Amino acid sequence: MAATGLSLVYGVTRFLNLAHGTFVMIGGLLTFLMFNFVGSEAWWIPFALMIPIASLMFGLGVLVEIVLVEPSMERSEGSLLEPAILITLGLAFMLRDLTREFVLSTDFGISFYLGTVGLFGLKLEIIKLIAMVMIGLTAIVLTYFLRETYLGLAIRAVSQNRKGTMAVGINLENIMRLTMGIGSSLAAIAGVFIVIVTVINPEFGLPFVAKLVTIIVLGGLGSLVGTFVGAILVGVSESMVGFFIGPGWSPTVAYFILIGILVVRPQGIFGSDLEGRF
Amino acid sequence: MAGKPPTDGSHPTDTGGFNRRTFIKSVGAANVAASIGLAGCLGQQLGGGGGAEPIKLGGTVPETGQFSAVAGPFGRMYDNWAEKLNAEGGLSVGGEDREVEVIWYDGQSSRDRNIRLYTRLVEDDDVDILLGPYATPAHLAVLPTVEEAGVPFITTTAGSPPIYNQGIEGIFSPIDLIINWTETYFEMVEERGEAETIGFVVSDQAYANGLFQGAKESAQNIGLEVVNEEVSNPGTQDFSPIISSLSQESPDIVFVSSFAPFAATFVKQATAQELDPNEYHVPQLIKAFVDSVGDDVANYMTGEWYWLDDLDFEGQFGKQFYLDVLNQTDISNTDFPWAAVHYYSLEVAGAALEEAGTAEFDPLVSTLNEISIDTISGPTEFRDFGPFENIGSIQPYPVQIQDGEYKVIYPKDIAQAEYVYPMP
Repeated sequence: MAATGLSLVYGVTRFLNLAHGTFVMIGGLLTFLMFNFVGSEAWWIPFALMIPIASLMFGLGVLVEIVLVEPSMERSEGSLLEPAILITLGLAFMLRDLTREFVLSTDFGISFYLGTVGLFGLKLEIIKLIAMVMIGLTAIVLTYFLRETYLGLAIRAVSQNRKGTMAVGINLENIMRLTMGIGSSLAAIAGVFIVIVTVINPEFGLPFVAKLVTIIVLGGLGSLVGTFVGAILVGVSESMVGFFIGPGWSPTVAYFILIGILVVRPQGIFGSDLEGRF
Repeated sequence: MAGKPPTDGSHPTDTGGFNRRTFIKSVGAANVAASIGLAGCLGQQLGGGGGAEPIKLGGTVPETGQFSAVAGPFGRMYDNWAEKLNAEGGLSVGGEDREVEVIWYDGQSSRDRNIRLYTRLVEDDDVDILLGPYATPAHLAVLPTVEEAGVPFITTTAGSPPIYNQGIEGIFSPIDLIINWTETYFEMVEERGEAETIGFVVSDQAYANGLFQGAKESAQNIGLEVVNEEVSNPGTQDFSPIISSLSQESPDIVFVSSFAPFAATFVKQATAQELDPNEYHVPQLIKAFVDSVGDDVANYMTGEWYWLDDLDFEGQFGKQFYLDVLNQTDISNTDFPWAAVHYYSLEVAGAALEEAGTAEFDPLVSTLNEISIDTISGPTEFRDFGPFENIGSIQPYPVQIQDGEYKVIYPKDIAQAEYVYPMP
């Protein structure tokens, strides 16, 4: 889900957001704070919290787009990578340090257990099944939104031909703000799941974004389908390697796959030479 | 074990409100001055300045980077310690009160940066005593600098054997070697006599591996059968294969040798997958771990802590002094239990300087080799055994969370609660 958000933002704005992992951390942090503030462990609480948290992160995404991304947009698309890296890396450091200094410097996760269900003799964690369903729903909703709604079509148009969309009267700035907002919301929702199943701290963002970038490069930069396929490929491979070789090798497997794919298909699995891919 | 408190119930520092430091300040100074000789010589030995210059301690703290969550505020703790100590007159060194300055830098949890900073502390800052950085890898990285410097090096959170068997003079560890840390815990398990099997889940890094090696040997020494040894990458996010393996063997005790995030992630997933051992032993049973897994899940888990508020040792500067420093730094022991270990290095440095009466290398090292130092966790003295030199005797105390409260549960003479096994 987090990789989808990153891919969407990159595909539309051509601005690689290295603070995206930090957005995931902030989503997790907000979950931790709100969950403890509410003080109830009812099964629906974390899912209900997704609404305000995703809304807040939508706002943060729009703010970041206005303040930090838009000033760079006068450059040509091909020269956006350097400012994107510098700006978003700086943003990631700033958000990390602000979090650590003013909110929380320790590790955090929430105590939330839904138990397991048996399926074909296997014990499956309910929370992970819910996460899978959410990812599937996100894929369906996002695909419908991008293909069937005016705003979605406008987003696709911007990703394919920025000048052309301006010529037909689409407000480029609003589309980019919307995209950044959606991408940040997806990061926040991923953060909710992450603090349920694991434990993170303010340092979490940068190492995590490295994996996200790996996934979207693997799938093909800017390709949503490629991102989904890349994420599944990495996830399944990590689990298989963890089970048959040892969990210690799991975090490494994504990079092995990436190298393998890039050798035979440098543009990634679903990458193409086309400007737009949605 | 020398690190254990006295078994007769007395406090090693129980001198009727007249602690070791007070004694040294009022009486020892005169002896030291007499033994060294002329006051003029004193000034020279202390690095000149006629006593006006402060004693300089130096080290790094991972204020940022991956270890900041567990040790980030310790630099501020050093500052507050120095400020409070100076407000009370500083250290009595060679017959005069000397202010103390702790020069510390953010090591950024980086091995290379620590190397550069320790070189700077020695060459530019000219510190009198080096304090260790955070954790074993950084200690190992700065050893060559320390060896060249000729400055006493008091380690902090680093009990790994390779630091202490390289024949480098002047390295002192207030705490025992990591391979001995769990001895007291397994004594307790043996005394209870109910557990028969144990499974280890280990994060593949220096601290956790060292702890695991010692724990495994101790477990086998008391007759426990080791049924699982699951060593995994510190960044492991999916513990399903390990949990599956543990479910098959069903050990009585699951021992998680790792830092808190790894342990919390494992325990969360093990709980979600309904693994239910008689006991989880999590040495890093810190508040962040408990908050992450939940109070109910953490209740009656056991861990190992160096210091708890309920321990009655006065230490070098007084227990209240340490509590004040913690409060001023705005850190709690439950969030940062390793603060005590970093504080020991300050206690050791202070005691050695006052006892030696000088900041010169040779007398300081000789003094450290001879004296027993009272710390907030009991006395420590530096021993040589096998290839290891200058190893302190402080070991962690087994603790258990009982209805939300951390309780020392062993040794019995200082235990605040009975060891509950199995977990209810």
